[in-house]
Amino acid sequence: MNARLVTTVATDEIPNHMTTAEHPHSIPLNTVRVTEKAASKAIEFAEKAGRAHYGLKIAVQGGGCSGLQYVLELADGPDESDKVISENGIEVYIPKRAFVFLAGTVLDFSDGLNGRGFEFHNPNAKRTCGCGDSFAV
Amino acid sequence: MTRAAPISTRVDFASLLSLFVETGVAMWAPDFGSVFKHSGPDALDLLHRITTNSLIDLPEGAARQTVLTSEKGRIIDAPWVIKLAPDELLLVSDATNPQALQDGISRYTIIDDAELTDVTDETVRLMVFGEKATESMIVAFPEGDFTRTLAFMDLGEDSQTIALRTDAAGGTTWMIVAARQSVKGVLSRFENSVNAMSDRSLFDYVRVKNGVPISGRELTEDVNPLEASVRHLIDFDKGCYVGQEVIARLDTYDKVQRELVEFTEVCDRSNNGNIESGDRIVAASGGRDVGWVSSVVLDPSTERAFGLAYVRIRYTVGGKIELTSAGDGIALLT
Repeated sequence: MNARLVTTVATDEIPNHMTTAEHPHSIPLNTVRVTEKAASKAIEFAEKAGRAHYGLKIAVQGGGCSGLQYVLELADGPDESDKVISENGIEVYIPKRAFVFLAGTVLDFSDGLNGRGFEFHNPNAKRTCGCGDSFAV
Repeated sequence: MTRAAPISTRVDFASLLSLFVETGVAMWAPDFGSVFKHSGPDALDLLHRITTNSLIDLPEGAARQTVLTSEKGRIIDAPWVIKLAPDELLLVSDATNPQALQDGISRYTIIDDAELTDVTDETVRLMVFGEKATESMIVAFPEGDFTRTLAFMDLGEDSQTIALRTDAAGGTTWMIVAARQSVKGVLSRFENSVNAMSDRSLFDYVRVKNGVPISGRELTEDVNPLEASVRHLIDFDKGCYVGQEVIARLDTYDKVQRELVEFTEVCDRSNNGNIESGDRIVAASGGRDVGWVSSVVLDPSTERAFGLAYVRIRYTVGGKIELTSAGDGIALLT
């Protein structure tokens, strides 16, 4: 682990009072989680692309039918203003300005014939568009 | 909805209209609207993502109008986007509430490297409209190329003066955007080509006669772009933008409820009061509220009003309706 600020939150470290047991995607609202499946898919894509140093950038930008859309991309490293989270073997970079829209989000990966690829489960999203690519808070 | 005073002042207006008809051109300096600088590497991409028209392919030195809609597909503003340089845009709007555009863009600027600056107070907008508008522009600015939508003029000063063909009054309309300190220089160029200095009355007379909607009157949050007859500002192939799902659904399933239509007043104003913008429209038969009046002008030759109105589609015939005032903010659809 390098010297920069890293917030590591493993599942067994989450205090009980901060989780809701009923919903599989509920996590503390001060972090973002990447499931094991999503992390391994991101790592797979990065390795296929031959990247030696990488992390997963998760952000939000204006656009999409509902006004806000997710940004998901591999990045060489974090920007100065990024919040950095280590999760299931991959570093996640989240711009601080986007974090307010993403806090408590779980990034999952759904495969198979009906799978949708990377999926965001965002507790801040009050409404999503039909295709699920954008949301409103 | 607020009721606005009638646009026309009859006596002065008749003379002005006569001069306009005679010379084929008039100029107007609107006292509303806004100009924003939108700069940064993500500025154009951001506007492309949140507005109805395709902007990502806008070439440098070109301009295109687009519509910013709410998540419900309602019109917030319909600004012109001018690409001055790769990372430098100018947004020009006729809206009476420029804050709505600023708030609408700022709200969606999250991680984008884009900065919006209000330069309205530093600029002046002048409309040159009428069948001889382009001819007058050529006389005033012989160095300008008025064969395109956007022309750049050299006034021999530091600031840039541009002319944008908006056709905001219908027919030919050029909007000149100049630095405030250049306005005298710009006006002096029209010494020999424009005699009619309009106020809003003449501009609206021409605009309404041509059936052109404008921000603040027709382009408001009460309607969506399909109702407001600005379908040409929607790129149905560009993919998502804010409000796209609602607009696409309305279009696909033919669910547009109202349309913008021209109306004429059928009764003598002296007996029935005046139809004013903001009046509700009620069907004479059945008494149902079927829409509202958005713009009204007075024809000095007939002493009767005509204008634009939003009316439920099943009550319109061929895009035209006839109204008579019932007083108290009610117009009857005959």
